[in-house]
Amino acid sequence: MNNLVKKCLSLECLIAVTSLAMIGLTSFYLLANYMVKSRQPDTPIYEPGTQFATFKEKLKDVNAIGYLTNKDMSEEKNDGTFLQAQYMLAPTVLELNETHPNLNILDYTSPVYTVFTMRSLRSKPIASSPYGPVLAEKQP
Amino acid sequence: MILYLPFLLAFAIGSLLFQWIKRPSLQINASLNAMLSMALGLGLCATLTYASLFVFGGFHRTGILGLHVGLLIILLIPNLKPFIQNLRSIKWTMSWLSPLAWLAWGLVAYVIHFMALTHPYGEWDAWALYNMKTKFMIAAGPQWQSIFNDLHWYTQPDYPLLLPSINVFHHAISGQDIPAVPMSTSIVLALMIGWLLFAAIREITGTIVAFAGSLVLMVNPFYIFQSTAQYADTLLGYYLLASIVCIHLTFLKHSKPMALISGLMLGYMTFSKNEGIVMSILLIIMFGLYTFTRRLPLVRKRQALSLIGCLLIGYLLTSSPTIILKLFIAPKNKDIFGGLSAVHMKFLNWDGFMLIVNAFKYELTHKRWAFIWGFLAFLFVAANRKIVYKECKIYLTFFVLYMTVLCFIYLTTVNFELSWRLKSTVHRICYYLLPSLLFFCYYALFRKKLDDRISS
Repeated sequence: MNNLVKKCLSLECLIAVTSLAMIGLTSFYLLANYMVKSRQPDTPIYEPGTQFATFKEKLKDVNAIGYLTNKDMSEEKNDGTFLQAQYMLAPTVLELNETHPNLNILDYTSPVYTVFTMRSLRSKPIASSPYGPVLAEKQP
Repeated sequence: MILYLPFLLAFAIGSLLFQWIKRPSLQINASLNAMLSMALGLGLCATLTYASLFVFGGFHRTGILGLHVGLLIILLIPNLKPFIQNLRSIKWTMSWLSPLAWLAWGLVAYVIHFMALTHPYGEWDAWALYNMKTKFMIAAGPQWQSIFNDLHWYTQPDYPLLLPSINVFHHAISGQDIPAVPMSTSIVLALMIGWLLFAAIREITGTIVAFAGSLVLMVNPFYIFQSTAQYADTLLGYYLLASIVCIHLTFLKHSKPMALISGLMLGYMTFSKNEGIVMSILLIIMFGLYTFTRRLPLVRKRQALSLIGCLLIGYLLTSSPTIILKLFIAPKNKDIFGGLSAVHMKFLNWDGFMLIVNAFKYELTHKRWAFIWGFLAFLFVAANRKIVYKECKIYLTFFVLYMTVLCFIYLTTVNFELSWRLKSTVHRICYYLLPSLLFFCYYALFRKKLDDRISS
């Protein structure tokens, strides 16, 4: 009897019981999490950079293109669209706000800026995304 | 099943290598043997794949396959007989707990898999950095090195490449693509951390405590979310835990092969993330200092000092890809210490320090962690003075020093807003430190008891 009490009050037993209690508590959180997620089975999941996917075919075997934008591309203010484009179009290198490449993605806040940039670069659109960005090629 | 074939290959290579380095006299439990073999094999396969990109001038599936099959055969020849003998000598003891444990782990594996499917492309840094680089390594041919020179600095061109290399190895063996490759890697790593924690705690105390200790981590919803986010933090957490476990085995068994394996794990850690470099250096310094200052008879002191040499040899072997990457290939890091060229560090003051303290306070008490940090605090208090018993001092000092270094890195932020940096990184730091902190607390609790048992 004494041995049993001693065993029950041992450090090992105490830690095991506390750990099991913790597992019980955490499992409740996990179950709640699981139930919330499993009730949204039809929520569509988009690949990052889907808005640039239409340019993929035009960029086969192209090493580098420009990515011109007037959006705030600082890391704090969502460099996301640039990185999303880079992810989607890899292994093509995107050069942020560099105009020297022959092909450029124009991702502006308004179509007016896009048209203005195309004119100043003497380029023509070769593909456009329904989400706004345009892929333009410089004219000889 | 094909998705998990690369991990089986890595495990086979790791087991043979582990068997080859470790002497038969070194007895550790079968689960720990398996988990450390996996860590060793995965690191080796990734490093070999990374090296193959230089050798073949880009991704070469047949080359990578040939290299790994060749390595497997090379390791099989001298190890087959002892390996089979070792397999036979393993005693698989089944208790009433075993079916229950496998059922619980099976459920956890299902939930991890389910959660991974809810964000198959991973979170921000995963697709923006690691998966994007994986695409370059697979599809850019000889131009794959653009990731160091031509990509924008937002893509962190200087980051070590262990995770993308694992994914490239996975792709070469399984033939699967993104997002299936990084997703299955994250699932496997999430399980491996839990099982490694179980195996490591089991080495010092009873199975029930070990099982409960590992399950506390594995059922944590935020741990599962972060693990399936496909960040390199999971890999860092995995190798940090493996390194600490190996260092503990080195001291416990006074074993040179184990010191070598500790070095190998520390080296892999450097190739997982920049933080891994800092952590490995701190752990080596702590290891060395503790060994030097231990009061031992002269003969044993010499033996103990030889452990440092073995550890350093292992470390040099596996950290060489990081050393070469940092010295000769990758550009300088702009985030740490302001690229060492900042004129004005606006957060290097008391307000900046308080901002960091408050960010950690907020994170550790956040309900998404389901009180796991409170539980850890309880273990810490329960351990009491045992927290500085023998080699526990190494780990405690390591954690304190690492937090000091992190604090300094935060205070010298120049390229971003500190509050934004804290918001996007503190939870990840807590995540990769958590498995090792859990192990440390359990270790401190039962380490002295282990000595008492041996002496009696």
